[in-house]
Amino acid sequence: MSAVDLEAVVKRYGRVEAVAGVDLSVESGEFVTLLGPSGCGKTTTLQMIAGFVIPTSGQVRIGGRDCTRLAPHRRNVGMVFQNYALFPHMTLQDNVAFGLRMRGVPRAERDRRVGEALALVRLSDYADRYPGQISGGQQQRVALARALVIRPDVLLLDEPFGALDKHLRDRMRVDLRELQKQLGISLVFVTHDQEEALSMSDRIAVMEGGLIRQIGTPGDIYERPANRFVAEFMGESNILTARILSTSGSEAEADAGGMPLRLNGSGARGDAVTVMIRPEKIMLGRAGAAGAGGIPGRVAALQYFGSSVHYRIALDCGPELTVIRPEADPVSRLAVGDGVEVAIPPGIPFVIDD
Amino acid sequence: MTANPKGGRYRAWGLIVPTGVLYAVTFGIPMAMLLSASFARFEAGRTTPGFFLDNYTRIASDGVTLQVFWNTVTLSAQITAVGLVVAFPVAMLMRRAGPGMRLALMFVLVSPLLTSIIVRNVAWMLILGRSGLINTWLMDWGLISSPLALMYNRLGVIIAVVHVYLPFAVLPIYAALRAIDPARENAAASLGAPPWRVFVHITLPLAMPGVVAAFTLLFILSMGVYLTPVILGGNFVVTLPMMITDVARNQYNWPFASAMSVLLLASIVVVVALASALNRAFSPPRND
Ligand SMILES: Nc1ncnc2c1ncn2[C@@H]1O[C@H](COP(=O)(O)OP(=O)(O)OP(=O)(O)O)[C@@H](O)[C@H]1O
Ligand SMILES: [Mg+2]
Repeated sequence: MSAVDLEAVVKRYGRVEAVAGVDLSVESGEFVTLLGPSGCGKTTTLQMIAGFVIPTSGQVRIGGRDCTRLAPHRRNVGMVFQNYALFPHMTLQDNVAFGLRMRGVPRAERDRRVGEALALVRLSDYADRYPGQISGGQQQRVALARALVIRPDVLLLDEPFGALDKHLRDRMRVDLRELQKQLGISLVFVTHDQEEALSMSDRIAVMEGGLIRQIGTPGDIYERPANRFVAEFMGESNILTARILSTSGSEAEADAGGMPLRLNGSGARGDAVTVMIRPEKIMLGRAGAAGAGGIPGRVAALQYFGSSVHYRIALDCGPELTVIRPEADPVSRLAVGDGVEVAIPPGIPFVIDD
Repeated sequence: MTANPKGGRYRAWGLIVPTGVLYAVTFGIPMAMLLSASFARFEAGRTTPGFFLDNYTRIASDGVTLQVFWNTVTLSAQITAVGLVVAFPVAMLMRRAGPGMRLALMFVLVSPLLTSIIVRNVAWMLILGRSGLINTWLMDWGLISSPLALMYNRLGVIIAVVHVYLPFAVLPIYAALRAIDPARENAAASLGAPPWRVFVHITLPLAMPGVVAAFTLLFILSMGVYLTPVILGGNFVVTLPMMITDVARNQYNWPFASAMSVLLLASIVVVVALASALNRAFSPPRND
């Protein structure tokens, strides 16, 4: 059974369509991420699941029950806010106990469950402190414990790691994912960080302009983006227009501005298609070096990132390509102006919707 | 500034010199004069400067002054209580309202401050009097058979004073409410709190600094009401400021009037001390 179902959900503010018709099912125990740029409707979608925003039309079901117009306190939904939204006038113990108090859980059981929840996020020693007396990362974990202790049907997190430094963020990602698997909890996570989405999710819904543009596993979304928006949003990509020369089965020979390509995808002879090539899948060699034997060009620019180097290659036949190679790659001694040869393995260029 | 933090600090102090001088002249000097006058002796229409405790012993022993003082304190407490109860929902409304509605509310709130105190009180007499608007309506509708005593008593004074001082209660509470991140209230709701429990457990405690400020302002302002009880209290409500005026203006007994003023001021100091103790009690501990 699915934990959350959104069916044709729309939210309009005056003339602004914050969410323009979203369908989404979150399976029980699944980690689903809503990913997209600022203003694409992620928070609004989440708030309609939590009940803070009532959809203009469409249906929200939680655990199969229609909750579209149900008040937030009648839903069993846990929410973690970007700025934690802890209660500053209560100790961590009381913060975590709040949901259980509202449910009338008896004192003894309440204390036990609060203790467990604080232990789960490794904050047992801080139970008597106030939110103003602990660090941002610790506040984040209290917010998590507070939402988990009520055993919600679904846990919602809105950019929960946005305010943490990178190191802490990485650690919280791992912790959250482990916790989610361990407790088997259904979870909807909102972020605009594609790395975060790729590294944590069972499935990712990429949103733009109030719509889900593609939904799938991290592998699907990254390797086989459905359209230009998803391709570009999910990291560095080369997007070219190519003309199909001949097809055979699911592969096709094509020409992109003088560069021959073997495409993954079909089309009629003479069709113009949009093609995406991930930059780290392109082979790069020094011109004339043994085994290069590809399309000639030269290094127009390069950027050093420590573990990898990003090259801008101007091909002699016209198009420019971005190529990413590991720093350890022997070609990483290349300099701007050096002559190179580029090879694109067959099947890597991927036809997408424009 | 960073290169010379000390110099910067001195310059910052320098900026308040004009204010400091103004306060010294308009507040410090009169206060000193008041204090010294309260220890003077008044006998047979003549004032003798010096250090006499006559006026204070009279306050403590004449049986009237302390009674009037106590009346003033209880009246102020009632005005403050009614004012806070009325102000809180108004402040909540202002927080929820859109910008236009908020401006309209703000205007309605401060409008009594823009009206002459006499006009305002006479208007209240027309509304609250025996044959005033309210009593006429209630009798016309047959809800009452004889007029209610809505003025020439505390009720009339409380209504009129709350009316004029309401903005001083609403604005601090509104400011405190505005500072509350709605996510905190949403968090409470998602944890299962119905709206009234969100209010009791989250909104109200977090708005306490504003409530304390409103309490302080209302109480201090109420301790000083003079004209409204004169008009709407009709000699049935006597406050310390009324007595001070009478003693100073009609009896020319400035020393005794000064001593009563010192008592009034001291009670205000107590209120302020109470308010800051409350504030400390309501602010949760934090490290940064
Ligand atoms: N209460 C509101 N009134 C009017 N417009 C709103 C309201 N809430 C959101 N919007 C609009 O709806 C759109 C989607 O907003 P939403 O907050 O869901 O975006 P988001 O994806 O969460 O963005 P971000 O990453 O910046 O948080 C935005 O254009 C926003 O301006
Ligand atoms: Mg958002």
